[in-house]
Amino acid sequence: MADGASLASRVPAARRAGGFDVARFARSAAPMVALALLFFLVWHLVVQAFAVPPYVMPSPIATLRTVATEWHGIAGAAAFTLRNAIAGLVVAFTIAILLAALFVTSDVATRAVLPLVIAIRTAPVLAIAPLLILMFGRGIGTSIAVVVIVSFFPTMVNAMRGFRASHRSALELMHVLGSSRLQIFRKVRLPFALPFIFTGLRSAATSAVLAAMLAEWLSGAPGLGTYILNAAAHSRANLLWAAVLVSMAMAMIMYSLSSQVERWLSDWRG
Amino acid sequence: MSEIALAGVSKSFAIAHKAVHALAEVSLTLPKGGFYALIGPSGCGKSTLLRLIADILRPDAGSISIGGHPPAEARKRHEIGFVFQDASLLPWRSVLDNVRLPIEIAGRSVANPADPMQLIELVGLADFAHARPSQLSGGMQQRVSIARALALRPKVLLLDEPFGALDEITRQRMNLELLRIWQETGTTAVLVTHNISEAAFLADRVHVLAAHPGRIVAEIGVGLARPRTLALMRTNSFAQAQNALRDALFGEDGAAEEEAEIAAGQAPT
Repeated sequence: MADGASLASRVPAARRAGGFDVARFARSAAPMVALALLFFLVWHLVVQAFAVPPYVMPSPIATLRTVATEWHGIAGAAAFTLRNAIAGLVVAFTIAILLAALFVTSDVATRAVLPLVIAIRTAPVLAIAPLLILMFGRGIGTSIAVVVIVSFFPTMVNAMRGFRASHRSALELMHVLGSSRLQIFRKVRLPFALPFIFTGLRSAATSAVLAAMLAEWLSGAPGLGTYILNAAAHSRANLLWAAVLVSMAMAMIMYSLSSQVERWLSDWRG
Repeated sequence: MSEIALAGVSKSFAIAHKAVHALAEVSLTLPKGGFYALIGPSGCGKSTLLRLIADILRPDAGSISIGGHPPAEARKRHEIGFVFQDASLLPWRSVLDNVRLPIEIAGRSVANPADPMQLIELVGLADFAHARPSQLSGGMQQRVSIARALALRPKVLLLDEPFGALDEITRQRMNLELLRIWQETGTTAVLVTHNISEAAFLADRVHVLAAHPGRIVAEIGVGLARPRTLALMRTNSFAQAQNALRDALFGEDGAAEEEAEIAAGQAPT
């Protein structure tokens, strides 16, 4: 997926052509498919070579079969978790950009609010979980809150760095032109910061799935995290590993989604 | 087309907890519509002087006026065009969109902005209007930034060593273009440079600065006829103008401290 993203950004013409290019998709997907096959092969060999019992880790074929037979249950749980992860990421992204913009424009705000932000980030989610559940309930609310707490920080830190990355002469130019603060932000600071912001977002995107599952472990909401917990409690390794496989696929989907958003916003910038 | 006047302007910076006097008691008047050069060794405060006029910096003491108003007012009324040492184009914008930037910012507050496409033609980049800055050479990028500086028909055009990074051939070509553009627009132009022949070729009057503290040590009128062409550079009167500047910069038995005026030489042959 990373390959697909960088290929597309290197070849803007292909992007502008519009429509779905099957050949291009095949080319960008080929390395990923090859890697997935290699992954399954290694998994298979490890299970064979060390004679891993199926109640610890089933073979990839057995696991894939379980994904197929239990698809209904897994897909329902995965959809719940994925939705929470995406919603949390959107909220986290918005908060991160607003806080970063606040911190780079006001030293007073930085001194007043940044320690609080770091404190929230540092508080173990396990410890504040009861509070979150009390405030946001056992459903999507707590999940979003946990995803936000876990994933806004890398985006915010990168965005702050990005907002400070504008070239000095570009800022001086805007000043001489008599621009308002908002114009400087919109036309110079934000576009200069975009690559930094998306570095943070991509790292946040992959951990968002994990954070959403963490929230379910704490709140018991019916997502993939709870599904894995139940499978483990009933010693059903097949279900457990099928769910793990699906959660990995979800993290990849999140990563490629954030790359896609980056491409849209880069188009807007240009 | 505004007159620029400075009276007793001082500016110091704190560098490693020590005050460095970038400019001390600078007074000068630049009548409207002229072309002026500020020349001096590095560290003499000539860029600082330009930044003070543009309201990028504020003076510690003294006053500055552009057309009778403080620089901040002129800046907010979008009357200042500024060309930086580096072209400082926004890399994600096309040439056309970079030139259009000042017009976007001014919105409706400037009634009669220039046509960006005409400006791009004026600097000879009509074929590159939709190119990205990274696709252009350094000289072409600097031409874009000149076009951008002219977008709001500025009353003063401030140029901070705009061609310093360019090779000699490109620099000559750009100087000719700059003169042509200045004559077409009639704006008051102030150029910071450390190149003697550039100052003599472009300016009506050259203000020579010295360092520690930054101050003006000579004002030298360049009485060469306009329009100026490359042929002018081979004439005696051009050589005399350069010599006068050189004397002012390096001192000729203290003559640097005196105001020198070069006789208006015979028209270039």
